[in-house]
Amino acid sequence: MKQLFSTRIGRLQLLGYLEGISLLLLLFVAVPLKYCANNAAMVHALGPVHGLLFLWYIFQTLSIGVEQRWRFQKTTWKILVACIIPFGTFYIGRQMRK
Amino acid sequence: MYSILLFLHSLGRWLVLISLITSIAIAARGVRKTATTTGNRKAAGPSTATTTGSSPQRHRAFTPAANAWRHWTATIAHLQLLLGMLLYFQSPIVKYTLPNDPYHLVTEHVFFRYIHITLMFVAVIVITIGSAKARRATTDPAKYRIMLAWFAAALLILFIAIPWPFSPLAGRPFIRKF
Repeated sequence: MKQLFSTRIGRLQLLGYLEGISLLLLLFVAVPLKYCANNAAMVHALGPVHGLLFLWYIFQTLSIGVEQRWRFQKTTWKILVACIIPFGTFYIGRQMRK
Repeated sequence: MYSILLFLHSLGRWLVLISLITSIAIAARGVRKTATTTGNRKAAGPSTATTTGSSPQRHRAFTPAANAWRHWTATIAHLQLLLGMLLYFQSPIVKYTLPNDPYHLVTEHVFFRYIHITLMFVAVIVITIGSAKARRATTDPAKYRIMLAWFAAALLILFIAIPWPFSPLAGRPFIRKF
Protein backbone atom coordinates (compact mmCIF):
# COMPACT_ATOMS: atom_id res chain seq x y z
CA MET A 1 0.00 0.00 0.00
CA LYS A 2 2.82 2.37 0.86
CA GLN A 3 4.36 1.77 -2.56
CA LEU A 4 1.34 3.49 -4.08
CA PHE A 5 2.68 6.80 -2.80
CA SER A 6 6.42 6.34 -2.57
CA THR A 7 7.39 5.46 -6.16
CA ARG A 8 6.50 7.02 -9.49
CA ILE A 9 5.10 3.74 -10.80
CA GLY A 10 3.08 3.39 -7.61
CA ARG A 11 1.62 6.84 -8.10
CA LEU A 12 0.80 5.98 -11.70
CA GLN A 13 -0.99 2.89 -10.44
CA LEU A 14 -2.93 4.99 -7.94
CA LEU A 15 -3.80 7.47 -10.67
CA GLY A 16 -4.93 4.54 -12.81
CA TYR A 17 -7.26 3.40 -10.01
CA LEU A 18 -8.80 6.86 -9.72
CA GLU A 19 -9.16 7.11 -13.50
CA GLY A 20 -10.69 3.62 -13.60
CA ILE A 21 -13.18 4.45 -10.84
CA SER A 22 -14.23 7.66 -12.59
CA LEU A 23 -14.70 5.75 -15.85
CA LEU A 24 -16.83 3.09 -14.14
CA LEU A 25 -18.96 5.69 -12.37
CA LEU A 26 -19.45 7.53 -15.61
CA LEU A 27 -20.26 4.42 -17.58
CA PHE A 28 -22.46 2.52 -15.13
CA VAL A 29 -24.06 5.32 -13.11
CA ALA A 30 -23.94 8.66 -14.83
CA VAL A 31 -24.68 7.64 -18.42
CA PRO A 32 -27.62 5.34 -17.52
CA LEU A 33 -29.01 8.15 -15.37
CA LYS A 34 -28.76 10.51 -18.29
CA TYR A 35 -30.52 8.30 -20.80
CA CYS A 36 -32.93 6.36 -18.60
CA ALA A 37 -33.82 8.99 -16.05
CA ASN A 38 -33.13 12.07 -18.14
CA ASN A 39 -30.86 13.37 -15.42
CA ALA A 40 -27.62 14.66 -16.90
CA ALA A 41 -26.33 16.26 -13.70
CA MET A 42 -23.92 13.43 -12.92
CA VAL A 43 -22.52 13.38 -16.43
CA HIS A 44 -21.86 17.09 -16.21
CA ALA A 45 -20.20 16.68 -12.83
CA LEU A 46 -18.13 13.59 -13.60
CA GLY A 47 -17.26 14.23 -17.23
CA PRO A 48 -14.58 16.87 -16.66
CA VAL A 49 -13.18 15.00 -13.65
CA HIS A 50 -12.75 11.85 -15.67
CA GLY A 51 -11.34 13.84 -18.60
CA LEU A 52 -8.68 15.46 -16.45
CA LEU A 53 -7.70 12.20 -14.74
CA PHE A 54 -7.56 10.54 -18.16
CA LEU A 55 -5.21 13.16 -19.60
CA TRP A 56 -3.06 13.22 -16.50
CA TYR A 57 -2.77 9.44 -16.66
CA ILE A 58 -1.71 9.54 -20.32
CA PHE A 59 1.00 12.11 -19.69
CA GLN A 60 2.30 10.35 -16.62
CA THR A 61 2.44 7.09 -18.58
CA LEU A 62 4.39 8.72 -21.40
CA SER A 63 6.74 10.40 -18.98
CA ILE A 64 7.41 7.29 -16.90
CA GLY A 65 7.62 5.15 -20.03
CA VAL A 66 10.43 7.28 -21.43
CA GLU A 67 12.19 7.43 -18.10
CA GLN A 68 12.03 3.69 -17.41
CA ARG A 69 12.98 2.84 -20.99
CA TRP A 70 9.79 0.87 -21.56
CA ARG A 71 9.53 -0.25 -25.15
CA PHE A 72 6.49 1.51 -26.64
CA GLN A 73 5.51 -1.50 -28.73
CA LYS A 74 5.89 -3.86 -25.82
CA THR A 75 4.72 -2.00 -22.75
CA THR A 76 3.64 1.60 -23.04
CA TRP A 77 0.82 1.09 -25.53
CA LYS A 78 -0.81 -1.51 -23.32
CA ILE A 79 -0.89 0.89 -20.40
CA LEU A 80 -2.34 3.59 -22.63
CA VAL A 81 -5.01 1.28 -24.02
CA ALA A 82 -5.87 0.07 -20.51
CA CYS A 83 -7.21 3.47 -19.56
CA ILE A 84 -9.99 3.40 -22.15
CA ILE A 85 -11.19 -0.08 -21.19
CA PRO A 86 -13.43 -0.39 -18.11
CA PHE A 87 -11.51 -2.16 -15.32
CA GLY A 88 -8.41 -1.98 -17.56
CA THR A 89 -6.35 0.21 -15.27
CA PHE A 90 -6.98 -2.09 -12.31
CA TYR A 91 -5.56 -5.03 -14.25
CA ILE A 92 -2.62 -3.14 -15.73
CA GLY A 93 -1.82 -1.59 -12.34
CA ARG A 94 -1.12 -5.04 -10.93
CA GLN A 95 0.90 -5.99 -14.01
CA MET A 96 3.00 -2.83 -13.73
CA ARG A 97 4.24 -3.89 -10.32
CA LYS A 98 5.52 -7.19 -11.60
CA MET B 1 -16.73 29.53 -14.26
CA TYR B 2 -15.92 30.02 -17.92
CA SER B 3 -14.49 33.50 -17.44
CA ILE B 4 -12.40 32.33 -14.49
CA LEU B 5 -10.98 29.46 -16.54
CA LEU B 6 -10.26 31.83 -19.40
CA PHE B 7 -8.44 34.21 -17.05
CA LEU B 8 -6.40 31.38 -15.52
CA HIS B 9 -5.55 29.91 -18.90
CA SER B 10 -4.41 33.31 -20.14
CA LEU B 11 -2.32 33.87 -17.02
CA GLY B 12 -0.99 30.32 -17.21
CA ARG B 13 0.54 31.11 -20.57
CA TRP B 14 2.98 33.47 -18.85
CA LEU B 15 3.86 30.90 -16.22
CA VAL B 16 4.51 28.31 -18.93
CA LEU B 17 6.63 30.75 -20.94
CA ILE B 18 8.62 31.98 -17.93
CA SER B 19 9.36 28.48 -16.69
CA LEU B 20 10.16 27.17 -20.17
CA ILE B 21 12.45 30.07 -21.10
CA THR B 22 14.23 29.90 -17.75
CA SER B 23 14.77 26.17 -18.20
CA ILE B 24 16.10 26.73 -21.70
CA ALA B 25 18.47 29.44 -20.43
CA ILE B 26 19.73 27.16 -17.66
CA ALA B 27 20.19 24.31 -20.14
CA ALA B 28 21.93 26.56 -22.67
CA ARG B 29 24.33 27.78 -20.01
CA GLY B 30 25.06 24.18 -19.03
CA VAL B 31 25.66 23.18 -22.64
CA ARG B 32 27.84 26.19 -23.39
CA LYS B 33 29.93 25.60 -20.32
CA THR B 34 30.46 22.00 -21.35
CA ALA B 35 31.39 23.04 -24.89
CA THR B 36 33.87 25.73 -23.87
CA THR B 37 35.60 23.60 -21.27
CA THR B 38 36.09 20.73 -23.67
CA GLY B 39 37.28 23.30 -26.23
CA ASN B 40 39.79 24.68 -23.75
CA ARG B 41 41.08 21.28 -23.04
CA LYS B 42 41.57 20.52 -26.70
CA ALA B 43 43.22 23.86 -27.44
CA ALA B 44 45.47 24.35 -24.47
CA GLY B 45 45.60 21.04 -22.71
CA PRO B 46 44.20 20.31 -19.24
CA SER B 47 47.09 21.84 -17.33
CA THR B 48 46.34 25.43 -18.38
CA ALA B 49 42.57 25.30 -17.95
CA THR B 50 42.72 26.45 -14.37
CA THR B 51 39.69 28.72 -14.33
CA THR B 52 37.15 25.92 -14.53
CA GLY B 53 36.28 23.85 -11.47
CA SER B 54 38.39 21.11 -10.07
CA SER B 55 36.16 18.19 -11.11
CA PRO B 56 37.80 15.83 -13.58
CA GLN B 57 34.90 16.09 -16.07
CA ARG B 58 35.09 19.91 -16.20
CA HIS B 59 31.44 20.54 -16.93
CA ARG B 60 28.67 22.34 -15.17
CA ALA B 61 26.86 19.96 -12.81
CA PHE B 62 23.16 19.40 -13.30
CA THR B 63 22.14 21.15 -10.11
CA PRO B 64 19.04 20.40 -8.01
CA ALA B 65 17.79 23.85 -9.06
CA ALA B 66 18.09 22.96 -12.74
CA ASN B 67 16.29 19.71 -12.02
CA ALA B 68 13.52 21.58 -10.21
CA TRP B 69 13.08 23.94 -13.15
CA ARG B 70 12.88 20.94 -15.49
CA HIS B 71 10.26 19.28 -13.31
CA TRP B 72 8.14 22.37 -12.72
CA THR B 73 8.21 23.38 -16.37
CA ALA B 74 6.62 20.06 -17.26
CA THR B 75 4.14 20.26 -14.39
CA ILE B 76 3.03 23.80 -15.20
CA ALA B 77 2.61 22.80 -18.85
CA HIS B 78 0.44 19.88 -17.76
CA LEU B 79 -1.74 22.09 -15.58
CA GLN B 80 -2.11 24.55 -18.42
CA LEU B 81 -3.17 21.68 -20.67
CA LEU B 82 -5.80 20.57 -18.17
CA LEU B 83 -7.16 24.12 -17.93
CA GLY B 84 -7.21 24.29 -21.71
CA MET B 85 -9.12 21.04 -22.04
CA LEU B 86 -11.72 22.21 -19.52
CA LEU B 87 -12.12 25.37 -21.57
CA TYR B 88 -12.26 23.48 -24.84
CA PHE B 89 -15.43 21.64 -23.91
CA GLN B 90 -17.19 24.79 -22.72
CA SER B 91 -16.06 27.30 -25.27
CA PRO B 92 -18.71 28.71 -27.59
CA ILE B 93 -15.96 29.57 -30.08
CA VAL B 94 -15.04 25.90 -30.33
CA LYS B 95 -18.69 24.88 -30.60
CA TYR B 96 -20.09 27.20 -33.25
CA THR B 97 -18.71 28.15 -36.64
CA LEU B 98 -17.96 31.80 -37.31
CA PRO B 99 -18.11 33.96 -40.43
CA ASN B 100 -14.82 34.64 -42.19
CA ASP B 101 -12.42 36.96 -40.44
CA PRO B 102 -10.68 39.35 -42.87
CA TYR B 103 -7.91 40.17 -40.37
CA HIS B 104 -6.69 36.62 -39.81
CA LEU B 105 -5.71 33.62 -41.89
CA VAL B 106 -8.37 31.42 -40.30
CA THR B 107 -11.49 32.05 -38.26
CA GLU B 108 -11.21 31.86 -34.48
CA HIS B 109 -13.44 28.82 -34.59
CA VAL B 110 -10.99 26.95 -36.82
CA PHE B 111 -8.00 28.23 -34.85
CA PHE B 112 -9.23 27.18 -31.41
CA ARG B 113 -11.03 24.05 -32.51
CA TYR B 114 -8.18 22.54 -34.49
CA ILE B 115 -4.89 24.47 -34.65
CA HIS B 116 -4.46 25.69 -31.09
CA ILE B 117 -5.38 22.38 -29.46
CA THR B 118 -3.32 20.21 -31.83
CA LEU B 119 -0.16 22.29 -31.64
CA MET B 120 -0.42 22.74 -27.88
CA PHE B 121 -0.99 19.04 -27.39
CA VAL B 122 2.13 18.30 -29.42
CA ALA B 123 4.09 20.93 -27.49
CA VAL B 124 3.11 19.45 -24.12
CA ILE B 125 4.05 15.97 -25.33
CA VAL B 126 7.43 17.32 -26.48
CA ILE B 127 7.97 18.92 -23.06
CA THR B 128 6.92 15.70 -21.31
CA ILE B 129 9.24 13.50 -23.33
CA GLY B 130 12.12 15.99 -23.08
CA SER B 131 11.72 16.23 -19.34
CA ALA B 132 11.59 12.45 -18.92
CA LYS B 133 14.59 11.90 -21.22
CA ALA B 134 16.60 14.49 -19.32
CA ARG B 135 15.68 12.81 -16.06
CA ARG B 136 16.74 9.45 -17.47
CA ALA B 137 20.07 10.62 -18.92
CA THR B 138 23.04 9.51 -16.86
CA THR B 139 25.56 12.31 -17.45
CA ASP B 140 25.06 15.97 -16.62
CA PRO B 141 26.03 17.35 -20.07
CA ALA B 142 23.54 14.94 -21.66
CA LYS B 143 20.81 16.17 -19.32
CA TYR B 144 21.47 19.77 -20.33
CA ARG B 145 21.67 18.92 -24.01
CA ILE B 146 18.40 16.97 -24.04
CA MET B 147 16.61 19.64 -22.00
CA LEU B 148 17.83 22.38 -24.35
CA ALA B 149 16.82 20.58 -27.55
CA TRP B 150 13.38 19.37 -26.52
CA PHE B 151 12.34 22.45 -24.59
CA ALA B 152 13.48 24.76 -27.39
CA ALA B 153 11.41 22.73 -29.88
CA ALA B 154 8.40 23.03 -27.59
CA LEU B 155 8.94 26.78 -27.24
CA LEU B 156 8.89 27.17 -31.00
CA ILE B 157 5.56 25.33 -31.26
CA LEU B 158 4.12 27.28 -28.34
CA PHE B 159 5.13 30.55 -29.92
CA ILE B 160 3.22 29.70 -33.10
CA ALA B 161 0.15 28.41 -31.31
CA ILE B 162 -0.32 31.13 -28.70
CA PRO B 163 -3.01 33.60 -29.87
CA TRP B 164 -0.77 36.66 -29.52
CA PRO B 165 -2.33 40.05 -30.30
CA PHE B 166 0.04 40.15 -33.31
CA SER B 167 -0.53 36.57 -34.46
CA PRO B 168 -1.77 36.12 -38.03
CA LEU B 169 -3.91 33.20 -36.83
CA ALA B 170 -5.99 34.67 -34.01
CA GLY B 171 -5.71 37.65 -31.70
CA ARG B 172 -6.12 37.69 -27.93
CA PRO B 173 -4.81 40.26 -25.45
CA PHE B 174 -1.48 39.81 -23.64
CA ILE B 175 -3.25 40.01 -20.32
CA ARG B 176 -6.89 39.13 -19.89
CA LYS B 177 -8.89 40.72 -17.12
CA PHE B 178 -12.00 39.25 -15.54
